[in-house]
Amino acid sequence: MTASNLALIPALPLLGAVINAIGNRRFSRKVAGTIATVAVGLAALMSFATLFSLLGHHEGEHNEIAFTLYTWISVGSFSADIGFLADPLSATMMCVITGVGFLIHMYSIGYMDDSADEQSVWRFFAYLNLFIFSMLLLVMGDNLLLMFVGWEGVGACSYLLIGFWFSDTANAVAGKKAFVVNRVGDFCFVLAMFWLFWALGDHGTLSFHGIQEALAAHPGLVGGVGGFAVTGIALLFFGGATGKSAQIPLYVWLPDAMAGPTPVSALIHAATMVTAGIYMICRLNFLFVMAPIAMGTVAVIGALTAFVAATIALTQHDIKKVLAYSTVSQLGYMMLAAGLGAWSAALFHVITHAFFKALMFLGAGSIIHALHHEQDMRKMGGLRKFMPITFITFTAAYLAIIGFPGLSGFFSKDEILWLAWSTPPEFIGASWPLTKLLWGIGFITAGLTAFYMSRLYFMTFFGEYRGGHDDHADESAHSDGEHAHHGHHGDPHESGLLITIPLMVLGVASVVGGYLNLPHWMGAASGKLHHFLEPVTGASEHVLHDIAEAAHLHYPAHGGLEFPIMGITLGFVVVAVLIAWRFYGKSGGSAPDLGKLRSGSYNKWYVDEFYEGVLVKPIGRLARCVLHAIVDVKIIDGIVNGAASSARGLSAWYSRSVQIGQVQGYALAIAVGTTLLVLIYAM
Amino acid sequence: MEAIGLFHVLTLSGILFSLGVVGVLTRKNILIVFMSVELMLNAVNLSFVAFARETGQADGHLFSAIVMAVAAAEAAVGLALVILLYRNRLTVHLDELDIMKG
Repeated sequence: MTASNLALIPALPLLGAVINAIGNRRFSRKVAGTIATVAVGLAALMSFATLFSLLGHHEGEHNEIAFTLYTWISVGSFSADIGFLADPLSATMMCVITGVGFLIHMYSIGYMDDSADEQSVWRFFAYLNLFIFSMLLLVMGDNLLLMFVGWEGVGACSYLLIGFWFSDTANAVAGKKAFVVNRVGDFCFVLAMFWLFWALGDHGTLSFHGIQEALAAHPGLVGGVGGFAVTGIALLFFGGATGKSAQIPLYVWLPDAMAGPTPVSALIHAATMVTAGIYMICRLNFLFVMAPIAMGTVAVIGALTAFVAATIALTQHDIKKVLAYSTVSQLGYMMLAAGLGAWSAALFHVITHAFFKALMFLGAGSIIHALHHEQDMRKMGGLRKFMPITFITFTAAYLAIIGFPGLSGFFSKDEILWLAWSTPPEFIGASWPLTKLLWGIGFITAGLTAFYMSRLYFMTFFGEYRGGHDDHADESAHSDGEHAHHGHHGDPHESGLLITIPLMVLGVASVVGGYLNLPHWMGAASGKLHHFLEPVTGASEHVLHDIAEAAHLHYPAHGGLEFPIMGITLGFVVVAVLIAWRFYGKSGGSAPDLGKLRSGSYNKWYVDEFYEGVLVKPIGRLARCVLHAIVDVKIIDGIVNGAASSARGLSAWYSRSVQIGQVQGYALAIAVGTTLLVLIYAM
Repeated sequence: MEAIGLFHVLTLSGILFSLGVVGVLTRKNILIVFMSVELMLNAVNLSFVAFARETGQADGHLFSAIVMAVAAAEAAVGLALVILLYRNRLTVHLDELDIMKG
């Protein structure tokens, strides 16, 4: 893997997008899909080659591959490159993005077979490829500015894909909401970049290595550890992350983003884009470690998001909505880990979550596809008989997310919970055992996760099929022509190979993914990912160790409490699953009636209504009544119209009087003018 | 009494040109105005020829020939226009032709 090949990795999906854009309607679903899939597949191969060449490096060497395509901006002492950096952190992300991305592209060829989409399916694949390109730019960029380009690119692609079926207004509105909410976060990101560059003064740079060196050499520039500037910068960066990674208070766009096609939800809104915020915090670990208060904010917000989203997921009926809130909740876990300074644990959960949540979305997509776009779980049930492959693979993902011992989610979530328990509160700027409280929230969330996932799992796959045959009567009325080849409508059927192969691959990954980073008590094979990431996070971990040593603490703590805590969590999960089985295990099982709590959860705690009333409406009123009615109409239009009407007045007063219409008047003017000119030049 | 030189001819040319200008600016009959324009053109011709004689070069002669050709063409077009104007407006009086007044 030579350095210059690095630029090819993002270039390939871009090329795929361009080819599909040129091919346009001439490309059928299969042609467009194959082009897109091959482009991402090649990028995936090269990403894995990069990863393996990094893995092959020897101890102590500078473990990274960097390639600068050209200098993009050069102004005074500031310069930004189009430069790519593959270090352990970005290489891992590259493999997740292109690997999961490849499978989802393949799946999409099978999924997007609705004849109504045949004319526009090239657009879908072009956007997907463009998304992979932007995402790769985001993780591979060696400076903040290039990362920001990717950051905006994935936002735009997300917008385009959420609104892919834009002829339905609700989808277009969902896309707009995602875009606008993200914009709030992006604004924080931009401000953070400005502030950081400004604070660094003469050492101003935006390249990651440059910032790290400048901060290490001159910590005083940002106020030292815990300083005002560094805390503010880190909080603003975190503000950016709350937008992209759907954390409180900006998580509201993600559930609505489910309006997009299901492969999009799997790729963008579960596996890759939403982890960008966590990636950014891991990338900037050297900055965050200098701001304990910001770290604490990240951890607290993460834990709260995990909890709140899980409570909402408990009662949703739409299968994709449950998965969406589950994603928000899991992202909260990642944020919690990132905030506690456990960057490798956060990235580990990013990876395992990418596997099992992508798998769940794809499985849900397979169901939705089989049921002709039915997403209400109350109309599912008993699907394990009809869709065995989807059932088995979904089971793997289900067991992974609830933390069944031995599966990927068990290791990654357990590590985060243990770290929350054992991390000294001093790391996040607290003097009381805040981290124990965070553990408590995470612990309860683990139980809630087990409950809502079991609910989803039992409602879809167990009991009797509740689709009903009445539905088919009116469904065949409007989709007769499209689905005629499906033969009898009566029973759902298993999806084709293009859909089931990605399911199976991800199923295997969900089961074995945990072996990337086994807990330390597993001995020699443990902590591979943690060790691999050391070149990126090692320096910051040293800082944390120093803090722990100064406070006479042992960190990382390997006390005897690890197994009891794991046991308690497992026990809680088992109880939650059993309760779910009690209520939803049998067909038509009734939900527990909890009155206000239940309707509150079902209505998402009225957060959307709250934002609507407190932010959207007043801002809309401000825009209409002040900015439009006064600033725009009166002031801006007033200036423009005033200029025009005063010009008209001037011409009425002066110019008209010159136009006398008498030929000899004009001739006189010419004669006088000529004479004057001659006189002037003669003198 | 000195011989008639460049100065005298140019003076005459200037007088003729000024007469033409005054005619163009003051006379109301379009035909008279037209004639005044011709007078201005010929005053210029006279100065061309005078300079040509003074410097001994043919350029002035050449130029006055061109001016005469152009003036002939202009007279043809101009008179045609005057005739059209009269047919349409039944007047050749300049004061009455003021529809371009702003």
